[in-house]
Amino acid sequence: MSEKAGRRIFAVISFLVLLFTMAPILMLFLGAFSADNFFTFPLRNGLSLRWFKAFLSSREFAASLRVSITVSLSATVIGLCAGVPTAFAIKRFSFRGRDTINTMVMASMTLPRVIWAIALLQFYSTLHILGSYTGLILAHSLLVIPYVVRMVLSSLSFINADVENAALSLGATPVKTFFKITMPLIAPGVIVSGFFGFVVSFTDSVVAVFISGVRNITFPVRIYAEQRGQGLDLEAVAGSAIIILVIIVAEMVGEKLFKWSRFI
Amino acid sequence: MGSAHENYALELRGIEKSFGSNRVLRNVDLTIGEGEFIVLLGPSGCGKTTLLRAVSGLLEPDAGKVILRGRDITRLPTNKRDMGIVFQSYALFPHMTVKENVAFGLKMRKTPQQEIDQKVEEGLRRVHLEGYGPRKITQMSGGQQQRVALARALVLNPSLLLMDEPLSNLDAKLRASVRVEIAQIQRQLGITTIMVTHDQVEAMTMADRIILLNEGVVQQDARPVDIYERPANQFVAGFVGSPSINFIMVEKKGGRVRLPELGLELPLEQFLPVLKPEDGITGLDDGQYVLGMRPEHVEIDGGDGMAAGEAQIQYVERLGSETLIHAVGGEKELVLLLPGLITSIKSRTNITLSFRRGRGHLFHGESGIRVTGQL
Amino acid sequence: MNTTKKWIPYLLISLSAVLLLVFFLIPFGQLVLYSFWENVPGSNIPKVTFTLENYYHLLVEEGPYYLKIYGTTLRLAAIATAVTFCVSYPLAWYISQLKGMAKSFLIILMMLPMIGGAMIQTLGWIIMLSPIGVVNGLLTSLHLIDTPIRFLGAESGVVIGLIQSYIPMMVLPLVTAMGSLDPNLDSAARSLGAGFFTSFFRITVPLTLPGALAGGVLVFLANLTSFVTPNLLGQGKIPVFGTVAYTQGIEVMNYPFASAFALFPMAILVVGMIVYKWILSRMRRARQAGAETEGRLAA
Repeated sequence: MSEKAGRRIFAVISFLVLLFTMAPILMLFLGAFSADNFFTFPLRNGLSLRWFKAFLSSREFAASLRVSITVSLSATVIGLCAGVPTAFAIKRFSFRGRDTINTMVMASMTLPRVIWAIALLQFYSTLHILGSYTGLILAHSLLVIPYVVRMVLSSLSFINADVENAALSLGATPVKTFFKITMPLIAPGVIVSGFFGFVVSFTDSVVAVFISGVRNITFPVRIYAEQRGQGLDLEAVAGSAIIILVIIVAEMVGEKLFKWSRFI
Repeated sequence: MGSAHENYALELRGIEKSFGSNRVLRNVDLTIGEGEFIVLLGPSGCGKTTLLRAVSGLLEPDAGKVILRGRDITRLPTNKRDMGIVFQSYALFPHMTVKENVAFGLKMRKTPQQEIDQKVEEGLRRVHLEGYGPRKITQMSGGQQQRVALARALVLNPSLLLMDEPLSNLDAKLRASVRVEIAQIQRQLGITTIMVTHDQVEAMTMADRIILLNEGVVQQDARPVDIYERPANQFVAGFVGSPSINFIMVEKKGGRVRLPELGLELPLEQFLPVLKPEDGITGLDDGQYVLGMRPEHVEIDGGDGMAAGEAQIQYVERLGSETLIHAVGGEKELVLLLPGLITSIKSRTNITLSFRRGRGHLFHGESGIRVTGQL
Repeated sequence: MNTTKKWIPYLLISLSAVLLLVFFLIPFGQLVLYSFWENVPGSNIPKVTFTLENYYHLLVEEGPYYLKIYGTTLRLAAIATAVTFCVSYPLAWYISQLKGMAKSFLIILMMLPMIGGAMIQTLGWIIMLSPIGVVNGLLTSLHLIDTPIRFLGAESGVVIGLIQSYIPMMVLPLVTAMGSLDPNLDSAARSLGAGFFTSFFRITVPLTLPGALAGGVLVFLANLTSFVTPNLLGQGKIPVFGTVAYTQGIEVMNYPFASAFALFPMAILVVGMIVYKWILSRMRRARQAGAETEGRLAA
């Protein structure tokens, strides 16, 4: 099989697979612009912005967005405060328990979320904090931490370790060294990991469904509730389309500024 | 030790360091006087970088003391030691300009801005980088970065300058010129310096004293000329000198001496004149020895040297300024170094070898230690 | 970094350690304990005792039902993982061949399903696979089918959703693995006469297989425990591990039993890994012994 033919076949397969992977998101946009009362294909009444309007004026969705943004923002801040020093400690120090904390952090990312959600459900209900804001935020911070630790570890490995030693030899205290030398150099990694942590927390539909209770409904849980209720809710579809758009734009801006794709 | 209270710039006593089961530094003792340029030389893994890091405080020794100008600084953290360090990778701060890099230490000492500006300019001038202050590090070439690293370390006027293989990342031509520059700057400032390298040419040309290490043990601590002329053991003799010294096995029994690899046998009285007169060897116990002859002391058909038998030339390397001849005598491969460009010698020809009088180094067969004195 | 204060690293990890302890380790510990405690109906605090009642109920009394659920979950997860594995390889290879902006752009696209979350993807699938959705609509208007194909509420829909969900999780690590391959290997193979596919299957695949298999295991695990996708695409009619766990936890609220249900697969997994490592070390020892014997014979 010739070189060119082989490459072409792979390119075609790749394109099809890519299409398949992005299909739901593309469909999301199709549905969001539908003018019908419920989604059918082919579209009967053409395109319209009615569902976007409906979403933006929906009080429930607005409330859930507020909850999600608050929860995810808080979880991200906590996650960064916990994750950045942890990554630094793992990379730059040798101490007993280093492997343990490293394994635990990575385990919290690879362990099935549903099982963790059930454990949290039972734990929170025992402590009577089921449905609480704080409980949700703290649980979500554990979603953020592994992403932060992973990306900051990766950033640190790109820095020449002797740069910190050089600063020390020039009289800087370890604290000064961290803030004047290390932080500026890992800042892109920290920011990018914060972004990813935020999005992971924002779009979490497993943990929140189990523990958010009735009062503090996050955006994904609101979508889930609407789905269970009436079937395909185009308001939710429009809302999701907006969220995806925001994520795409943020990703591209981030790439332009930080070139984060090399950390993956 | 413990002799008079001489004012050493740096003293190391009994430094030990192990990584796991690997004993990298074994009871190392060292003294360095003010203004000396010391080179820590040795093959990779010998412990020279570990020793440097122990001096700098970036590594804590398992045992031993580091004493700087009479003060025990063994437990002092790096940022309180008064040392300038030039790292192998230069370790310049990539997010700062040249000037900010050089000024960093002064900033840490809260020096007033005017003084900083003046000292930085002076420092840059010293390394021939005047005007490069505002440049970004990423725009500088390797050689320029190296100078910035040097300027940054020197601007604080430290008690000690430490350099970890500063020339290894430069290409060969640059290395030669920077070598000279560094040596000149050191002499101008009179700053006590310790440099780590695996390159014996750097060591020979730059050092006031060379400390040669192997497997964590100091093999010899002496001036370059002494290391070359009176190597303390076989390792030192083999490490320093390019091309490497020729080692020939020697057996002494009764009044006869045998060089089995060359198929030679001769009476002791004819052998002894080959050895260096400074060693004062008038007799030898029976046993195994190793004779070291540097390539420049192995000659062809030499007049009053020791006859060393026939050899066949395998290969000739003409470097322009000198000619290297690879020959095989008996079972032994030998290298000869002759000055100049010699075109008349061809491979596959036979020659008669001779060892120049008074240039041979003799080592004990088992221990490798240099043989000296009356026996 | 060498500092004189030994407690510094511990201070640095303290926040993470506390959070992990309280919100990760302790809940899991409680989960394990609950599975051995007795349920008190009407209360969410079980009686502290040691009983195997929960596991007995799970595996023996209602054994057929629950084991069938585990079985279905395994089956669907295996199919989805296998397909994801195969289709990811070409795409990963293609992306790894790109450079610069094109590569970054594709990586950005690939990240979207991952961080967009299962909920959003599933909505898109409902639009595609519903009886009046895109796929059926297309096929009907092209007169290829008369009645709409039932995807939602059927296993097919769930599997399709699972396959798509985790393609990025397979592709991205593969791209990294392929990126770290020496590019000269392929050229070397070509110079020795190998064609495109030969080089791919004999050089690229074997060398990236370890990383791919590791990714495959993660994808398999994710498929096994998936919740949102089977829940919405299966419309409650396809009971798998994630959906049943939800039912047991939230609706039935028999925590001890829910714990047993959730932990049983994990226990199998842990035992499986221990056995796997034991086999691996046995194989290694056998190989070493073989090599030693060979050495002795040769000497």
